[in-house]
Amino acid sequence: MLWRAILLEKDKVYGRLILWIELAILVALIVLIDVLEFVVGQNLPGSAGALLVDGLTWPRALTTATQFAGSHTIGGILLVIVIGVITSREYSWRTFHLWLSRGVSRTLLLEAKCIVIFLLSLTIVVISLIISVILTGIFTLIVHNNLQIDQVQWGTIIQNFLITDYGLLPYAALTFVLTILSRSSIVSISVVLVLILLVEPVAYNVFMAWGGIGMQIVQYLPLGLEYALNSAVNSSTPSVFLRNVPAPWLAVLGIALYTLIFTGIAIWRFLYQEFTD
Amino acid sequence: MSAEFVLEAQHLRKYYHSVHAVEDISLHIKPGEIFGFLGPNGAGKTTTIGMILGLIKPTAGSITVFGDTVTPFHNTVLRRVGTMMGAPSMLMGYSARQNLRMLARLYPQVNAERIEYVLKLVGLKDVNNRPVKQFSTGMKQRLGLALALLGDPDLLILDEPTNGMDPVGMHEIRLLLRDLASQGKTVFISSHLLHEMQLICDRVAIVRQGTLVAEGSVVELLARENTTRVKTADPNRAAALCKEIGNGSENIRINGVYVDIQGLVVEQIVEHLVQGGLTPTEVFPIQNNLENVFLQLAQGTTKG
Ligand SMILES: Nc1ncnc2c1ncn2[C@@H]1O[C@H](COP(=O)(O)OP(=O)(O)OP(=O)(O)O)[C@@H](O)[C@H]1O
Ligand SMILES: [Mg+2]
Repeated sequence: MLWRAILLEKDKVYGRLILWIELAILVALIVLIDVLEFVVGQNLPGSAGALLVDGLTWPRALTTATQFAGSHTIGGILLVIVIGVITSREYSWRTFHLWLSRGVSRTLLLEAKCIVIFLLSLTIVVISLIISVILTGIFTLIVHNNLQIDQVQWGTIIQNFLITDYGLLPYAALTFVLTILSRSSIVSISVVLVLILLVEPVAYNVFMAWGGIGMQIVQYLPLGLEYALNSAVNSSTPSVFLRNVPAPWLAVLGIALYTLIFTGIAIWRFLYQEFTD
Repeated sequence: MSAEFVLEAQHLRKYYHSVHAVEDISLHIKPGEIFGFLGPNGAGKTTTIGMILGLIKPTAGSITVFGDTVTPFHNTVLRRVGTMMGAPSMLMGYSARQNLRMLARLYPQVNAERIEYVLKLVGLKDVNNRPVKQFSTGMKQRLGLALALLGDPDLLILDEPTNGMDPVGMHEIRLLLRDLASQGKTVFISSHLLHEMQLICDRVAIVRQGTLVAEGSVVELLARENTTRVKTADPNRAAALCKEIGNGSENIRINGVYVDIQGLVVEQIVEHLVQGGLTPTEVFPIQNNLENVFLQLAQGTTKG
């Protein structure tokens, strides 16, 4: 039954126009930004231009190929919007009635939803990876006439891919639980976007610079944990706060905890929700 | 004990804080019957159906469907049930076929043929790929019915299925439900369209303010005493005069310019009204129909 519920959820989500529009926006933005940077980099004299071009060609470009899918960039924003809209529709279209009154158990339905939301996050990361790889591959050919495959750090690419997707999960779960609690996409999307774009980065940067107890706390925000993972994998990550980030295993655990707690609350509240007329 | 009933509800109750949506409703639905669940607006029909479908947690009481308990936490037996509750439940951004295809994900036995078959059954065969949000009320209702029928359920629970349908549609639904019942399916249907229910139901229950006020076969309910309908210049005074005659067991109801009286002899009524200076301009017996029974029970002028 779980398998069938997953197929149902998959059909629903991947049949929605909004998802494809979002993915098109994602692709368009990646192409736009990369091409713009590349053109600027090629025309900029001196080491600044060279640095920019180096970041847009293989092997360097491959390690940052999923950057636009990250939780605090386009990918995160699009994921939050699509989860909010798709989940709240189940209330406004009364389709939760439809599945639940057909004997689908509530926990099973939410499990299926969580799995498909995970697939959604993967979709966003994979698409941005593919587009970036193709695009920077073309740049590499333009600049170097070959792909410099021998210099590619496959391990780092895979690790970055996993970190990017993993870093999306707490926000996906938070959007999901807020939509379940409020039954409204406006509430959940706006709260999470304000958090991602404003509250969290500001709090993180301010308190990390400030130090003290504030810093002890904010380094355990999802943003801080993701940062810890990134800096553990990429030696090139700017290391302003490096002295004070949680250990990688703590970061992995922390992100998992956020995700599980938000998902748990969503399932628990959903079990007690009433679906009236 | 439960096996003899397809659906059994025991002393259902649902309170929303101070609102008593359902007070005490018990139902016993037998296999193969069409059971009508009647009541005025706000009587608690949809709330009762919501509890039966595990969508609303009862404040008290229990439900079994095919002998298996149903609660919001335990609803697997509902796989054998096809439903339609209140306003349409469907994926508004998708076409009718897509809606059916997606629901079909839950039913391994449903194939493309079955989807076309139910579309034809409800008269939506020729809708193209328009999203259902563009559908008229009646068309949405038809799709709701198709979604209910899709898994070939043994029990259909329908909340006002003919809402917004034209007379032809209603007639088709009537035939369809009769046909399903003759195949051994059980139909539980709520409505306030009484003449409709009278035509299709084997048994009915009438609910008022969350409480069952009558339950029985249509024939039984109709067999209650016939009514005398009187038209006078002043219905209120006529009703008051009639009340003076009996011993309290009679049932007097003002119905527009008419007064409907049950439990009194025609001669008595006329004599007393004339003596009271209120000569009736029309007096006639009316054949009982479900609507009268319903009005009497639903408005609560009947006691005992
Ligand atoms: N979620 C809720 N919160 C508070 N009161 C509710 C809720 N749902 C229903 N009610 C109340 O419970 C009563 C029964 O409502 P219900 O929808 O079951 O009636 P109904 O018989 O289906 O009416 P209708 O014929 O209009 O569909 C009404 O008084 C309604 O206001
Ligand atoms: Mg109702």
